[in-house]
Amino acid sequence: MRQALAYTLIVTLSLLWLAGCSSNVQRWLGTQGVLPDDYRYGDLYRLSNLSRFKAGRSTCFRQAHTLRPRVHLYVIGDSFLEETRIKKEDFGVEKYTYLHWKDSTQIVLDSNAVNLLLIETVERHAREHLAKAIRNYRVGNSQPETKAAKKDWLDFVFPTNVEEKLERLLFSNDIALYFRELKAELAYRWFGRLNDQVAISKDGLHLFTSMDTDTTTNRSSYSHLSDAELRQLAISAQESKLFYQNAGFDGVIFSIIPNKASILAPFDGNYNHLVEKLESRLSDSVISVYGIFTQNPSDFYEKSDSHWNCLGENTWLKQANLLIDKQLSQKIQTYPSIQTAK
Amino acid sequence: MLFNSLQFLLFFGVVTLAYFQLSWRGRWVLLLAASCYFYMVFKPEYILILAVTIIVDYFAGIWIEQASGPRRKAILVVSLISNVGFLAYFKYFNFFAQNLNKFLPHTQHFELLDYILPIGLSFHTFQAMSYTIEVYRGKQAAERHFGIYSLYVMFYPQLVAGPIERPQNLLPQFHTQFEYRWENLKEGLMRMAWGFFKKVVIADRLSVVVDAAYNHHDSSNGLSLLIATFFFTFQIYCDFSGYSDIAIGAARCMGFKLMDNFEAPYQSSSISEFWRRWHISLSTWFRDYLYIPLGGNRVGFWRANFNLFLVFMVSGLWHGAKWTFVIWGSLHGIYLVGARLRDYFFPKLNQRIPLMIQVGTTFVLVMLTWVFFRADGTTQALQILRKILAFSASDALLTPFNPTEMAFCVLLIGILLAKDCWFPQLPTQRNAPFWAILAVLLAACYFFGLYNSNQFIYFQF
Repeated sequence: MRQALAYTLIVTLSLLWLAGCSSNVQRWLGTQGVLPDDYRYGDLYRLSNLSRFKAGRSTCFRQAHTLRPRVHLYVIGDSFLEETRIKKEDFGVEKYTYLHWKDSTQIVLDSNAVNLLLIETVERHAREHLAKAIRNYRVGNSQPETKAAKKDWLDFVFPTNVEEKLERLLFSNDIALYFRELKAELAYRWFGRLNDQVAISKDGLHLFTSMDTDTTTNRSSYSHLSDAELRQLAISAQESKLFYQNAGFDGVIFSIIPNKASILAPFDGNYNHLVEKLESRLSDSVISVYGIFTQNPSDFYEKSDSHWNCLGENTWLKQANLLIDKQLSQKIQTYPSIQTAK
Repeated sequence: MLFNSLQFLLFFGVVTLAYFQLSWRGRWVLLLAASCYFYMVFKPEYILILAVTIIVDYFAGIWIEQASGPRRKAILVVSLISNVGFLAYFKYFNFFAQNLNKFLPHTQHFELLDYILPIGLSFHTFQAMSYTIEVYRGKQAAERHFGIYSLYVMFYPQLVAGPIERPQNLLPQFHTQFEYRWENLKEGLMRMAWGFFKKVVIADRLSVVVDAAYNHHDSSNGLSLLIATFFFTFQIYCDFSGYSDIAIGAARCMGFKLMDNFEAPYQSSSISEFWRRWHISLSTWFRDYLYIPLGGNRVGFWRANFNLFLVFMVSGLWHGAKWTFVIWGSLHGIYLVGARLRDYFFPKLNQRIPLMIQVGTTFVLVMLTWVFFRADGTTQALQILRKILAFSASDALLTPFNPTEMAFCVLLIGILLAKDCWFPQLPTQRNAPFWAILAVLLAACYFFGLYNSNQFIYFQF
């Protein structure tokens, strides 16, 4: 009996350990519904585990945009435009390519299509992303061979991030979350202590990523922005725009998504107004939602997440499609043959 | 892998359960394989260093035993050189090179090496050296079983941060088929739980205040640095003794008995007593393999004092390749020599001092040396000491903690001292108190532990 129990425990613990080591196993468990999505209550809740900021993430339903034939849209963006949020149908384009800021790839532009490039960044990373030349897309004449990344046998036997994977495997179910909330509440009430990746607004009503509020870095909404740096960011953005236009793009547009703290708590610190200032320098090439968001600040962001909610997303999409239409109509005016011949 | 991690808990569970399902032949294979895996999780390539030293010392032990006369000594010297050689290369080369470059700029410039220090190098090297020396002295038979000898060097609970074991204690245990015993499991689990509590609840919490003050010492005032130093005194004790407790407890679950490494060191009434209670495995190692071979107490008074100072200076260097560690060790040497001189010239003076004053004085003297241990450099250490000694009542306490958390830290220190004083061994004989205390400790670890992947301090040595 004792031996049977011992062997059962050995097998169970070993399987747990294996699942903790393997991203593939975790992904499979996720598709089988065994492992819940640990972002289901929001990325900020996942970090803080404060029950007062617990809210389910909304699934956004919207109608597909009318088709724009022969329009190819290329995006360089972050999690605000990730594939689970924004899709090809939202723009109605014939071809849609999304690339995250951390990646780069070679593309071949179709000269028979209108090729548009959308460069999107959230405000907290704007100074980092726009400070240097943007070259994530390499425009070439032929598609390079994609080589699968080679995995060393040592990576298989000694995988990375095991602790994070084990924590997700064992403690992301609702029962474990109850205890995590209890722990987080105790730490916050007694010691005023939060996970150092989150921050709470001064009125206690909003949860932000600490990048929005930590003035020791230039990601914060409240960190100083000099005129010289602003000028340099605008010049760098324009240079990237010119580069891609020369490479074959018919239009380049920008989007700077405001930090949640910039909209919901601009007076918690000395807000640097990066979004407004940079948008004014990028003039007609930018999708602007800052003015709309500030009119009703509490309407556009998730309570438990650093990202926008469905209204925020739909509002941005509406502005994005308006600007795309404007770019397309300018293109047709300049080259009327595009509308029929292409 | 870190002890304070989920991966280790699963690893420990699997290894301990599997251990008792196997016969002796399977057990040493399991433990050796597990120890190799445990070590390779940090940096797989460095297992080669262990492999070389194990092979050298395994054969050295056998040949020393078979040889006679000067050949025995020669083999021992080769073995010691190989061990010290790895230590010197990986741990001290950059230190000596930097100092030569700085103090002799007109001579050859030494390029610094760029690599991560192999984890646990100082610990398993000393443990291996202990083996060959004991074989040479005739106090230990050479181990013929290569797997068992390898396990002696690599036994995972004490591989990376001790206790530094002696072959007489450990080798016979690896030849023993321990039966599963509920009493051993209780003792082991309780020891581990207390170790985790000291590490994640006390040490890692105190480290927040310490790091805030020491990492921003320019803007910290004397009071804040004094409090941070006081907290560091307990942080390092809980961090290191916590690791030792987890190591001893993990081994005990399987039936092994490792030596105790700490015995309530802050109850010491003298520095020499402090070193009989702090990092016992290291201090006895230096006593047996450096101080006594230098002559111990058998040489003249002044020579013995010089040897004592030298041993503690070397002990400081063992902790790290930085002048601050050398100064830390030297200060302890000065304290010990000072105490001997006091007893030599004023033999009855110490007896007139009340015990509590002696304990308090010892604590303060030790606490002040920790400034060098924690500071990034000598200049920083001296600045901190100057601020501490010059602090005034008007200094405001600058700390990232609110008053409740500061009070909680003081409470934790109180619990630690009370446990050391009145409950040196937590009860495990009766099941009900065992389960109750274990549950309280584990709940405290969960609700009050800080899990910021803080490595154990002694891993860097």
